[in-house]
Amino acid sequence: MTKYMSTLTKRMLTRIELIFWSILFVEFWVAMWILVFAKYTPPIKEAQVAQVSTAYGSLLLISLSSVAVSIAYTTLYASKAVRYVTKFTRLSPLKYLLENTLSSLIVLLVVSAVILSSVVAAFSWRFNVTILPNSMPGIAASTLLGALLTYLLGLLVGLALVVFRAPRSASFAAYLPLMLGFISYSALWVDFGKATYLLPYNCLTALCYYFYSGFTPLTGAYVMSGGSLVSVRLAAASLIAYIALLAAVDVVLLRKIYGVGVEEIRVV
Amino acid sequence: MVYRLIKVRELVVRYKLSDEPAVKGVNAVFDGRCIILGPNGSGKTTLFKVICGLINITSGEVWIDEAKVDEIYSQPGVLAANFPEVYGLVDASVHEVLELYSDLTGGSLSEAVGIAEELGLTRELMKRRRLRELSAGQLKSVCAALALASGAKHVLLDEPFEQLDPAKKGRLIRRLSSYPGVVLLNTHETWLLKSLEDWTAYFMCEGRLYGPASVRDLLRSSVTPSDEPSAIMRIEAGGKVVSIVREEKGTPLTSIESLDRIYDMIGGG
Repeated sequence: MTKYMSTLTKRMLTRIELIFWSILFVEFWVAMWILVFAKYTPPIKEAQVAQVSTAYGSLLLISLSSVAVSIAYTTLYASKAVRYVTKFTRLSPLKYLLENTLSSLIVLLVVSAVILSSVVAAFSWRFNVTILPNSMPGIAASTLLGALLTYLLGLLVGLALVVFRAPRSASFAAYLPLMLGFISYSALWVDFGKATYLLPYNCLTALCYYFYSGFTPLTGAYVMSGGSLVSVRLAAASLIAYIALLAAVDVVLLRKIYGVGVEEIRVV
Repeated sequence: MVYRLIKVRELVVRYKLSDEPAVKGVNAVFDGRCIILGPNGSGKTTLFKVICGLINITSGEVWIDEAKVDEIYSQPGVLAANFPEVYGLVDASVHEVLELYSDLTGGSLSEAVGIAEELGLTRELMKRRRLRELSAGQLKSVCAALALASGAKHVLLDEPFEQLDPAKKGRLIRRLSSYPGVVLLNTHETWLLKSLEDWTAYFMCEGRLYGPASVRDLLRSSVTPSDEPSAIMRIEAGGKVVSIVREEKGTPLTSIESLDRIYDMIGGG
């Protein structure tokens, strides 16, 4: 490993925009969940478990998709440098991709751990009982898939901005993953039906709900009347397929990358 | 055998297929210490970026030692340049960037910090400010420090003296003169020729490269807006020919502070 991985990890974890949107903003929603949404939850264990599971799945996707914005910007900012360093330094293209992926996954998993801890702590305080995930390995695997999806999505947006030479669109395009996150967040009120399988973050929420609670997830309207049941296998397959598709597109874009000058990015 | 040269053959670069080429059929072998002179917009920076593999070649070849530039991957110590964008791998403080690139290139961190200090940056500023927060002059200084401290066999410096005060320019010239590898720099300013007497000079104008000539010869030469048969170089600019001649027949080259004035001399824009 080179110093690239540690420098990038440190810089992403101390990026004020990332801390604000992926942690502090989500903490505000954790507070909203325990103070408003949980107010009328009946003191029945199943209802409380369902609520904590819904909260974790929904808040995780907001948090992860916020990190994707930082990943997109980081990719855009580094685009010209990547070509240079992979030619004239010991950071080969493979090492770059490996260290960039690992660094981003570390950041995403740290953020996920913070959200999981605060959801558990906040609801423990609210319900006077600690509700831990039903399957910790399942939650870990779902979160890892979510982190991978988010990394590849952020990378895709960043690379697309570079390849199509559209850095001026960054202030809009970089937020597409966050918009996608909020669309999926609306599953709390809206029943997405079969479209659940087409939206990767909905599949992630469903998996998190399943592994946290042990109950079969819904296609939406969690806090309303409730949608129909989600096939966990199909949701997992859809999420994995999205990850594979994004990885393939990212590799194609990486091969086309010639970079955008820092002066163009400064304008942004 | 240890090669230390950059070869460019029939190089043509177009940014868009419909555009006029930015580099038009350039042939050259750069070794030792070379300076490319030319007005702004003449294609110098494009040529440097192509040599670094940062821009697609439309046709032709660029060789660095025994390898084509497009085939070079993961070879620290072969080439370094001072383009700010190539040091933007991580949006970090100047000191972190110096640390990172010293690690990646195998260069010396203390030397990089030393050169940056010589060029006017304090250690406190390097720890406090990010690369993108520097002024244009400070950014030039840091990028020159990074390129020179890498210890690469070939160093390309794009307008390294721009926005530096005279004292810092002098310090940078001393650094360049003592650098052990190939140094290729470009500028549109002529004042520094007096300090680089033993260098080889080229001219670049409207995408074409002219030369080489020794700087010693250029110091005694003049620029005249006419086609002179005895010229050291005949440069096409704005559809006319400008000659650089040995005799005192026109404007002494060193008295033209910026080569952008070539267009004034021929009555162009």
